[in-house]
Amino acid sequence: MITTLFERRALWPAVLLLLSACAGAPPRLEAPHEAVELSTVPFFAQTEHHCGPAALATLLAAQGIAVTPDQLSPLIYLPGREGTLQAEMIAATRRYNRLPLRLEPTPEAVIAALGAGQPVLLLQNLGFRRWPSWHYAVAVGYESEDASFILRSGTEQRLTTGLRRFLQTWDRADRWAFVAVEPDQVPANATLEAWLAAAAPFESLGRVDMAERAYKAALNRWPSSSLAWQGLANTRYAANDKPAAEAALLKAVELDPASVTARNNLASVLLERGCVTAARAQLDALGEVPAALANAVGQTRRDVDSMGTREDPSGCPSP
Amino acid sequence: MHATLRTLFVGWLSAALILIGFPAHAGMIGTESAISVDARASHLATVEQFMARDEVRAQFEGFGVEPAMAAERVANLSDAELQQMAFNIESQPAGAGALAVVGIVFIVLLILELVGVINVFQSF
Repeated sequence: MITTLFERRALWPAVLLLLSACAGAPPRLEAPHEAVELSTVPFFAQTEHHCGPAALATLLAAQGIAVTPDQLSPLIYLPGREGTLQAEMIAATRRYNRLPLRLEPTPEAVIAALGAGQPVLLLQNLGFRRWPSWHYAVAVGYESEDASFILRSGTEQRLTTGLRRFLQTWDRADRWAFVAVEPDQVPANATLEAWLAAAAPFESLGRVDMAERAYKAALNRWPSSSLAWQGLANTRYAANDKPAAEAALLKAVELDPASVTARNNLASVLLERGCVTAARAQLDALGEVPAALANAVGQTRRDVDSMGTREDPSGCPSP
Repeated sequence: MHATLRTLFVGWLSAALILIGFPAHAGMIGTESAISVDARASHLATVEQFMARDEVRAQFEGFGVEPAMAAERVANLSDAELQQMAFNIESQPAGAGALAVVGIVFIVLLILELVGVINVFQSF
């Protein structure tokens, strides 16, 4: 059987031709885009399995942060996996005081970021879905003539990848990409959800200053976002500026009266300064409480109830 | 080995949660929780934060990170990231690089060469 196969090796080129002919029409972008290349973005060639540190060093260096792949490796390289996890790329970006903003999963979003001067760090799968070969690269440019992307990738300083291959390898990695920006500079194409999702981890990690800069920037851009006001309230509260926290929460409740978190937090702040009736009014106004918040809200309710009923001192908001 | 440990841990955790329930937190709800409640189905059970932290740290050490560094790396991860990672570091993409692919291409070329489809290596 094997010999017959070998004997028919004249057929093999035909088979290869068939395989490559199955690709279909080339993909196209919806509208033409202008060419852009951030040619000053530095390049760090990767060593084996270390594309994560190399790509992140490239991204941070473009932000004026002097850091080498060797310095990043102990922070993000996982020896047992011979690679770097996405969450640690994001976490390390925060550690260097930049906000890691996830991009919308479209080539247009990548081109828009490049147009705004931000290189884009992306995950590619150079293998197959079932047999993946994960790779981080940094997009630094786009050529409009042949719709190809220019990447800092692996050991190649200027790799041009056609749109079809770019989308194939990016699709297989679920189109994961992010940019690193200053926490008070909201890119023009950023969405509120992505910005807040990138900002909130600073707060959870106790980096209140960074979180607050990001929330304030969010409010400049989206002044009617209840969540952004809640974020600002949380950072003000953490800084022990409770009047400012209360004011921000009042605004958050006004903008989204159905927000369980805004009302719970407002009740909590009100209770702390003895406004029991006003706090209870906030809890009474709650609709259905999601299971994930049931414990926190239940605790606030018990705290309020333990104070009994009494008249609020002057200065409390009237319920 | 890891899988077994994790199965045991998950079992123990489920039992513990059923028996004692989640400990309650008083006061303010952080923005990260507010966002995650906004964004996804809230019936999803979540692992208590300190348990997720311990689990991920143990896994980092299992994957060859120095204990002190593992603790520091875990400290850099947000609540949501820890939740995501607590039980599936093994199955998450770990970007490694383009170099391995060169190896695959080499093997394919070598096979094609050996069966006589191509002759690239004879030209060297």
